[in-house]
Amino acid sequence: MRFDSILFGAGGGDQTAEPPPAPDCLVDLGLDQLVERLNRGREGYRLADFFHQPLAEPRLIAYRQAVMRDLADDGVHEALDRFTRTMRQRQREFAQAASMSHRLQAQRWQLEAAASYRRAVNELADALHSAPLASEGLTSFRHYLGAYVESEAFAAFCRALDAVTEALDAVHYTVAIEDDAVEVQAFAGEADYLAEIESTFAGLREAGAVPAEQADHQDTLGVSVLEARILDYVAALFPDAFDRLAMFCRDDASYQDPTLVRFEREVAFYLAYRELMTALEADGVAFCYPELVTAKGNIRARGVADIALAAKLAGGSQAVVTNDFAYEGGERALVVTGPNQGGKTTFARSVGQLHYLAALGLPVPACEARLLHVDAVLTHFDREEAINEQQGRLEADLWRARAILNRVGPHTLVILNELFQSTQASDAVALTRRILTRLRDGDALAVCVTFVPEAVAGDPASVTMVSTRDPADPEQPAYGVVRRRPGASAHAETLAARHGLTPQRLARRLSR
Amino acid sequence: MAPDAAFDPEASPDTADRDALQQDLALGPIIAAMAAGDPVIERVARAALMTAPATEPAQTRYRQSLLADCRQHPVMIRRLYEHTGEVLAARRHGLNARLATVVIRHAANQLTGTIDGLSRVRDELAACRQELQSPGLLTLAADLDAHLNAEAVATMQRHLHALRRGRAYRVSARLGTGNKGVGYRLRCGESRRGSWRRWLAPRRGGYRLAIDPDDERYRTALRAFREERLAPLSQSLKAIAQDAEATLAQLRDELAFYVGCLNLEDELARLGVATTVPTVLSPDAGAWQGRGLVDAALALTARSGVVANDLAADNCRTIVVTGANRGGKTTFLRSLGQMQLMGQTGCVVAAEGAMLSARDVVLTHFPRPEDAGLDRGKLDEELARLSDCVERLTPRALLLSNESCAVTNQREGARILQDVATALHAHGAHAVYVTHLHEFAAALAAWHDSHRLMLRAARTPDGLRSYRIVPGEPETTTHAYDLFERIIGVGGGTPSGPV
Repeated sequence: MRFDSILFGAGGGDQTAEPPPAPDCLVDLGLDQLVERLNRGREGYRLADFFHQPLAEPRLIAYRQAVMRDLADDGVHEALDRFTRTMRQRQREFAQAASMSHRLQAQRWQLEAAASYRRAVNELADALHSAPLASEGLTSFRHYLGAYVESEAFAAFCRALDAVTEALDAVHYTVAIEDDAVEVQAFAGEADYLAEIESTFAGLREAGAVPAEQADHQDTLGVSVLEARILDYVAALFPDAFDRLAMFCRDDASYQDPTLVRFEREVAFYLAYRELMTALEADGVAFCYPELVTAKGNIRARGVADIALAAKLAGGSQAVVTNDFAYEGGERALVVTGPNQGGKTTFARSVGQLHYLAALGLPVPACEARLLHVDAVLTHFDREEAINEQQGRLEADLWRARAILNRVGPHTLVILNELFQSTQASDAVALTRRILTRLRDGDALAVCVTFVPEAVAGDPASVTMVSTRDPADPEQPAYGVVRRRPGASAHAETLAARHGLTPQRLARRLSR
Repeated sequence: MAPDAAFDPEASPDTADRDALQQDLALGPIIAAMAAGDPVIERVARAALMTAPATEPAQTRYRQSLLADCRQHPVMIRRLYEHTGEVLAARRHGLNARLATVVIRHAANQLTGTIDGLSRVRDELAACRQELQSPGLLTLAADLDAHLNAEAVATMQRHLHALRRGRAYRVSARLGTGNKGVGYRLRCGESRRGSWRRWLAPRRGGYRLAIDPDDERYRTALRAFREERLAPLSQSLKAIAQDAEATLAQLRDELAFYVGCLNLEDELARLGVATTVPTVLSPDAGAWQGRGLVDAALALTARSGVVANDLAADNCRTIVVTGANRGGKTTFLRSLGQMQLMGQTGCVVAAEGAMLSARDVVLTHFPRPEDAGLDRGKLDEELARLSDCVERLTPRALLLSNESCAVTNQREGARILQDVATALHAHGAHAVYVTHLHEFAAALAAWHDSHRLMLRAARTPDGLRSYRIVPGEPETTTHAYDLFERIIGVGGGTPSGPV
């Protein structure tokens, strides 16, 4: 029985390879912060490595989508989440063991870690046993786990663990506390002193008085100099238990199954994303499993949200704005224009995010999506800090455009945001037109945010879209981007707003 | 104070009501006579009188029988009271110390004193056990015998001795997270400290670590370890010591009540005022009578002969008292209230004989001299208080009304009071109205109702007031005619006394 990877399928994923570097587009698309958020609380898993690796094989995308669909079941999610949490606890216990200065304390922490490992494995096996699994990934993992739990190696490990734990649990000792000495002995059945005090004076207690509790309060994990000595004496009084403990710890952590350890890290990728989905769904963001295609005739998505923005606003009162987009027939470029603060950048970014996340095999923030299976998303966003004094701004823009054009191919999505902003309009028109022509020659898909929409006038491969604001409600950022000829109907927009017919107002009115 | 509940001197009606009741019924002199200068008795006596209406007749009888025992052994009761007071006064604070070892020592010391005090009570009661009759004292004696017999006390003292000495302690433990000790339990068994055996090999396998007194690290660790292990013991002992002290304080407070009763009886006897243990019946028994009833407060302060009245009001709910001013009506009203409170609380009452039904609330509605002001505001205030009374009224309540609604014009006042009286009567409540609102009195006199009694401040045949209250319909002319006759005289003679 063999199992390789819940992310990369059988034989997939090179464990020894250097982790891939972050793609350039990540920052522009706002996905770097998203990945950071997903990794929070799971730092040890370095989930970014997985987010930096879009998948080329459609088979793997389907493999991951299927796993994600299984995870939609709360029981499955809970089982896997609990598994990783218990495994992380084991990790902390290992760390605790390493930080203990007293050898006997360190050994006991190692034992705790082993017990956590066993608990994690057993609980997961039990929970998955009858779980409703359909994905190839999780069903074959279940087989593997079942066999592992049944294996002689695991059984032997459990027996050893039990033996040590029982021996240590049986240790019962007394400490006599004097003014200037302590004395440690095995417990010899001495009566409970507090109980005796309570019963002696019971006649003086008020009716219904509750006897004092002898509660443990552990404020520190370490031991004082005195407690360290007492522990040494206890070990000397109970050599058998402590010999067993030492023996168990000599084997170190070799009992851990590498496949399970790898699974723990990889499954966290799904868990992290599902947690985010749950949080955003509560805010009204819809997620769907995208259909990935290689032909460009009919690429479209409805109800698309900017996932980075939505994650930032999560739990707040501000509604998340969604957009639709479509590349129909020979259309290859969405040219976006309109007033500032109108949601142009958000729109451009969300198109890129959608394609990127789809290529990771994840559900995307949209009501429905039919997307191009891209091998790269190439972005050019305005970056003040990227300009040095030698180069003029125009020159810098062109160098970056060149780098993008060199990589353009039929499986790329290019997002250009406010290119040539520093240039005078007539030049910008000409330059933008040329760049778009080059992109079309390369058969790439593009989103181009520009202040010179006339650059594409009459181009059948380009679609113009306009960002809108609600003039009747200027406090409310609109960020709605709609397919329309630019500048056509500002008056009609105002009228619609006056009558409460802007998309935002409509949405709000209808949701009441 | 009660067979099955602790007496709480603090559990009395709120202070405003309490002050009003005390002032209206002139309880001050009575409480002062009970206390005879002792603040504890004063506090307890006041509380007992104030909570008297909450006392069930069975509870009253329980106290009456206890008081009878006290009357047989006054010296012992006074001695026990003083002794418990001394033990309580000797306690020192220290139970709230931060260090467990300090708390343990204080608790042990305090417990030792408390147990000595309770043992003394036990011994005193045992000495006269044969002569005791009351279930109260017999139960106390039995309880003390059960919980604090010589054997139990010896065991306690042995423990307390060890605790005061700060002996060595033994704790047991198991191994928990990170092999730290958990489940610590204090264990019996002296360590071998101070014993010659400490120099011998341990009895069984064991390891001893002597702490170098100069090694600060180890000494600090030992101190912390001891504190943590002893914390539960210190909490337990603190609770025991507090409970024991509360028991003793409770006993002292209850003794204070009976000493107060003895004091009052002694004082009234010295003044030649008759006292009696009233028969207190259930609220529905309809008993309401007294013979030779006296305003005890007046007797205690006037120190000269006071007028005694008789009351025969069995089955009456509404009593109206009319008659001349300065005719002893207020005094009579007070004596009724005093009889109710003192009688129900288990004390004697100032009368030759009395029988009464328990009331669950005693309310007074007396004029408030401090509220003198505009009539309008005064009526407002008065009616507000009357409304408060109605709010607190139960079918088993007793309302004592003294010249209510007299501040407004006669007709209006009479009307209001009549409405109140009618409602109360229908409700089943008991009420006594001292009034010179003629129309009110006349209206009630016209009731054909056997549960209504009309009384009048009597005049002697020569027209002089006698301070006696006797049955009688209201007279139309009271004040003016009376005064005219007395001062001017029918035949123009000399006045009979100063006005």
